[in-house]
Amino acid sequence: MSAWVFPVGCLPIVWGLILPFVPGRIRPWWALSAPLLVLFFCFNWEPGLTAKIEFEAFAIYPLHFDAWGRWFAIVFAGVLFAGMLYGAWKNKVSENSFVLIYAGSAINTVLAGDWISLLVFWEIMALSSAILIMLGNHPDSRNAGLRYLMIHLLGGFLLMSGIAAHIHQNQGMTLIQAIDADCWSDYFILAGLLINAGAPPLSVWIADSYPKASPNITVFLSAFTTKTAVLVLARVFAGEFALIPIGAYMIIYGIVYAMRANELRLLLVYSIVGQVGIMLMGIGVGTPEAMAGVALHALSHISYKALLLMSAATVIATTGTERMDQLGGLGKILPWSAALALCGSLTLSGMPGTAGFVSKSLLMEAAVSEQAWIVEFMLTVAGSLSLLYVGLRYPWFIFFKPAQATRPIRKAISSQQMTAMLLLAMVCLVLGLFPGIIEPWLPAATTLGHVYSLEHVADQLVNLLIGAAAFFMTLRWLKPHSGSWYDIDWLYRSACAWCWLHLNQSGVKLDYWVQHLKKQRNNLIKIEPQGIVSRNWPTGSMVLWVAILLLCYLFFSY
Amino acid sequence: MMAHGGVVEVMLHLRHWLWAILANLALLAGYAIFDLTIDQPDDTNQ
Repeated sequence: MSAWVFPVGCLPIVWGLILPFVPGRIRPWWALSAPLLVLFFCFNWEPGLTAKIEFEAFAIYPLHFDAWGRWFAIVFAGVLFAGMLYGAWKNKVSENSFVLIYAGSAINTVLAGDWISLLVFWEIMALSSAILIMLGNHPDSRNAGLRYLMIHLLGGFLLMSGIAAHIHQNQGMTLIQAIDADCWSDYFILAGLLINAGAPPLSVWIADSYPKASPNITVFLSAFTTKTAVLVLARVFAGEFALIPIGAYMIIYGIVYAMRANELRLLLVYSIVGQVGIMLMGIGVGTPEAMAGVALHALSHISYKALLLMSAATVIATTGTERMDQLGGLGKILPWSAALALCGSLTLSGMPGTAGFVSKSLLMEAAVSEQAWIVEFMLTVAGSLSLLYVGLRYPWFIFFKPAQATRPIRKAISSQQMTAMLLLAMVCLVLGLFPGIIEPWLPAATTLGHVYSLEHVADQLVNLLIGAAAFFMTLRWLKPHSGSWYDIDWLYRSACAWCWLHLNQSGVKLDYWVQHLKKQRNNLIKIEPQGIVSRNWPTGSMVLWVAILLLCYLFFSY
Repeated sequence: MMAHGGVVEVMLHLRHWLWAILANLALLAGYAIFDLTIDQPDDTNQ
């Protein structure tokens, strides 16, 4: 088997590059085969396998197949399969292709054994996900994708600076190992990872960009980027205290903004921030039990969030809108979607019998045994409030509210889509009812048999009952309505606009230069005799440029 | 003294439920004050 050791995430990347050349009818099946192959290798390889390449003075480990990497690679391949089953027949060819590249680079990132290969796949992931957002049909998709890319390039820059300094300090040692953050290079790495996790102050990129992609694509976006950051943080910064207040802020941020959201996907993506906050708090606690809770919560979160986003995509495809104030009574038209969305919502809330209950109970136990009262408090609050901001709010106002059903514009759910949603719901329920079956696969040693103690179940049921009572007692207030709240991006976006305006007024002709550059770009891509790439060039100028390039090379080689 | 200790112990056991009630009240109060009383611009781009 050792002859077959290779960075397994390259399979979806290669599959994505080939996809546009595959005949149309085979394309969805081609896309589906990539995650199945990844799963085949991940289930057959034993932890401990590595692939090593010598590059200049560095040892590169593009594959380091440990228990953490295996766990996340299997989860990523699983959600890639479910997402493709849901959307491969409806997505654009370019979307399917970039999803495979995005997922493959995410899998390679979680399996990377050294900082250099991690950084390479990290950046491919950022670029492919930005393109996926730009391919969306929303009027703001292109700009949202550019804003997303800018934030991620900033994160990538911080990460690269930190990694370069870290490798230099460790005499060229590139292996990814636990870091006790105590110097600026470590803080740069931490900051780069936290930006991808959606930590403050830049949490807004998630809500700004994910709902602007196509509904089927938001399923993938919600799964990979933030959870890749969670895995690297778990590997490198387990037990880092700073993650606890950051996680607490993210939980409150997610709740407050989701409570206000009027669009289906906006509501769901705000809750991603809150749930990643829970994982960061678990990493901050850092005990084996907490780390097992983090791994399990990542799995349950990816499953129920993909399920909820698929139900949202079904609603959008059926009604043509995602404004909650214009929706209602859809349970009559989409009964299966309603039932599956309820299953996802209850898993999110941590209802006993679902995977969310098992992961939250593990995290709670770890917090109590470590006397981390902030974590214990925030987990309780997040569990109880989850019904108010999404757990009941989402299914109630879309599917179950007694109202005239929103008139469907077309029947939108196919058998493949139903199968994908059923698969994810099964993951939520089977892991919740029989948590013992995944114990051997967990990356941190712990037992799951005791989570169904009377104390845990009663505690959680009463918490949820309090949340449900609060929801139904104030139902009239909570009716979704249009409007939006300002976020921190208002500060830097208006500051940039102000600077641009005043620079233009003070004589720096920025608008003129932008127009000039656009003209040049149009000339460049014009396939006409006068276009830059197609017009005739004097041989003398070519020779001059060659000479300049050779001189530069000579200069840098010295 | 014993009674006082007993109350504290019961409160400690029920702390999660108390926190849940307080958190729900705080969120609803915050929502009522900041959302329902302030006119928000409609820039949902729909």
